[in-house]
Amino acid sequence: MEKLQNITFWLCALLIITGTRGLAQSNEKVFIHTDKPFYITGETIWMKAYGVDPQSQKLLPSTRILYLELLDKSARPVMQEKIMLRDGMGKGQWFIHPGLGTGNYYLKAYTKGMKGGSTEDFFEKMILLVNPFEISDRRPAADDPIFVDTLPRIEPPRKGLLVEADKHQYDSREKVKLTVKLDRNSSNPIETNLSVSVYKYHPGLDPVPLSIPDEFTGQQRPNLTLTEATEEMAGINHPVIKGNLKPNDDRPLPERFFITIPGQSTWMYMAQPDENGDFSIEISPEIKTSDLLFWGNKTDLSKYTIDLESPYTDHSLKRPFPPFFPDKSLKTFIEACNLNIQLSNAYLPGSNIRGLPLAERFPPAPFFGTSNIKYMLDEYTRFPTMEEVFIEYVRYVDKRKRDGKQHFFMWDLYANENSISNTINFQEPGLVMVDGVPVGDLQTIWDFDPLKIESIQIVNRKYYLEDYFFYGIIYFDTYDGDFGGQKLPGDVIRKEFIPVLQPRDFYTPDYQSEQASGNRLPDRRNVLYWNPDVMLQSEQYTELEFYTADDGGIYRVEVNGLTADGEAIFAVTEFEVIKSGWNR
Amino acid sequence: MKKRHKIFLLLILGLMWIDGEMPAQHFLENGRIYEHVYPSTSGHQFLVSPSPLKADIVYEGLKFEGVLFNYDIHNDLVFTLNYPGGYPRNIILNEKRIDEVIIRDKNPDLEGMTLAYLRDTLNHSPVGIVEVLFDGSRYKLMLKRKKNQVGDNNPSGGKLYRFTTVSHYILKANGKVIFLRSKKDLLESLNRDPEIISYIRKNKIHFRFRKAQATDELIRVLLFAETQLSGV
Repeated sequence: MEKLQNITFWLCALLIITGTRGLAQSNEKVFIHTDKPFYITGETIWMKAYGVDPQSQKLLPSTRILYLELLDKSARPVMQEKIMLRDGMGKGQWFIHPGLGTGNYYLKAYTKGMKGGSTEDFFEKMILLVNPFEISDRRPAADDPIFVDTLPRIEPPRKGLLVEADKHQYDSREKVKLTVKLDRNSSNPIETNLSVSVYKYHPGLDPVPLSIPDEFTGQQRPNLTLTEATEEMAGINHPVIKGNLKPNDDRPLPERFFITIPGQSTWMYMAQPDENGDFSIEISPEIKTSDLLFWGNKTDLSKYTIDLESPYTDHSLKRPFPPFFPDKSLKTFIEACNLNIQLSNAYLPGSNIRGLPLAERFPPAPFFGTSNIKYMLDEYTRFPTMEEVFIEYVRYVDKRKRDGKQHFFMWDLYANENSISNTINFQEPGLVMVDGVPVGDLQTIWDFDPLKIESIQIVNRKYYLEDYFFYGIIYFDTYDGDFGGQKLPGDVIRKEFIPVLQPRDFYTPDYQSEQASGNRLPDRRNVLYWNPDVMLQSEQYTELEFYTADDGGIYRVEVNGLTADGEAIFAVTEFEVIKSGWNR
Repeated sequence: MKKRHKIFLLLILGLMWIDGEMPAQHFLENGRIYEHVYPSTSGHQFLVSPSPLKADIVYEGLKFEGVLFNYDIHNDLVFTLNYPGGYPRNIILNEKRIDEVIIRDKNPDLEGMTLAYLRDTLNHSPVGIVEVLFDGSRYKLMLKRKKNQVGDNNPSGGKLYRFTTVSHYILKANGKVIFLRSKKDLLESLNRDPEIISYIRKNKIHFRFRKAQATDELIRVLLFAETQLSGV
């Protein structure tokens, strides 16, 4: 009887766990709306990502890292990025290197959760890149898989949305008013997230449907088994640095080592490799720089090899890449777009092409926050050597010799606060850093040109990294943040990784005033408007305004979105810009 | 229920918790140690008491829920209470990477109280940790608390030290950070809008800035100012 009870208990427990994990491990689907289906090299891909739980058909409720790759015809990634999905939405921009060749590429997007399933479930979208210096003159052959100029023009049906420009034709630098309205009647106000793009259009350049595919809100994947579900959650929501540390000889693995990410703000983490040398450490999604510095406090990491694991998947492409054979009208169109890019690059600042950086969320700061004392060297007499700087005015730290080497010993703030004497030092030397680079040999500091040092910060407390701590920190900032232009110390290993892409604002000029509209600098934008953050309530409409550029032609307006109840919606319209006056 | 069954049920609950999307704990365990004590000063340097509070903290772009923390107003430090290896340790967070701290407490005066780090971007000077009282689309009202050590003469000789709290209202408007010390400061920061002045007069709103007891009145005026500007 007892045996039967035990068996029953364990069976129920197993069912509960599997069910629980199945419910908690939600399936995910991703869709990317790009501003156009084709690009000239040197342009920027503007994108908005939607992540949805196909079971509820609603936006994913929390944060995810979205991995993006652009694959060529050999399934080789030519560009890789990461963006952050927050509450199911994310945005970003990708500058297309002018060196990429002409052809169709696949934009693939997936989260770590999706990697557990089939790569067939990854989001995939064909994008045409045109390098104006590499357009083939070959005519399509009968056995070519698909050729662009004979594809029927696919006009996807409008779905759930109305979009209308106030006119059909505009002059250069004229204001366009777009009205966007939900095409549904509902007594309950439904919130909708939309992304809107307006771009110079040619009918021969949309080889794929533009609407959000039906499978986006489609089938449920089978629930994961318990074994699959117990894979660690790290890397799904937050970026992770994963890799392996291997000694170059017989020496043992260190118990721990440190990773610093230098930049205007520095970040520092500690990693503890397992018995195989594997390590994994979550890092902040706010990190923008791509340099990683690996170092050990009492271990020379140059005697080890560090291999970082790529978070990206290997791909194989089952569908053929249709080659690109432009006809005469398409070639003319591409040449015009290319001229627009050349003129923009010549006359506009880079931020107008690649986007305006958003205001910093955090002020630049080192990893420890506010120091106990900060010396701005420009506020003191400038001395010719760093030793004199320390002799003349830097307090709260003492220089002492131990084992034949010089070290900095920080004053212990806590001990001094609670004692009459105020010169009690820590018993062990502190951490010395210059621009986030650890310095083991003080001679490096003495050799520094003081004119390159902007500030010296001293932390008079123990600094903890989980179960390890440093006896205070002395941190040098140089003006250029480049370690004074010197080579890194030999025991520091430098690696690169791809941080989470920080979104930028799309540049759109304002020609309201006569002075602005009469500005003779050419405005030859191929994309007139991109807005990934349009919010709409049902029964309401929104008006979006922007100005046309100097180049004439047909411009397409494309609106994609997702309602709060999981319905994918889409609309498209067109208008014409007539070149006027001196722009002709 | 047998012991192994209890253990297993606890494991199931643990797995369900892990299924949540909490970032790794090390983010809250990396930092300077907090060790400030003032044995000869009466009172305490904290927001409420030396006992830790619970909060949801958004730090380094990541959200942590139910974190034990405290706010030292005297030194303007937010620190978390961790138990690495089972021993308590207070770790000071890098205040410049705090998005917000939302207190979760049964006390209705504390529940939902939001702390954030404020930087005066125009003057490039830090203001520090503030309590966010109102966060509109154009205006943000905050309260900056400061505890000072004040020495009173001891009849037996020497000084008797105690903590006293001083608070200031801060308004962030049009990218500017303005300390509100009087009604004049408020009206200047709202560009002396005649509609707002008229609203204050009609509703006979009096501001008690000195004792930081003007919160409700200030929020009322700012709500009105926001609706005026949105044209609703």
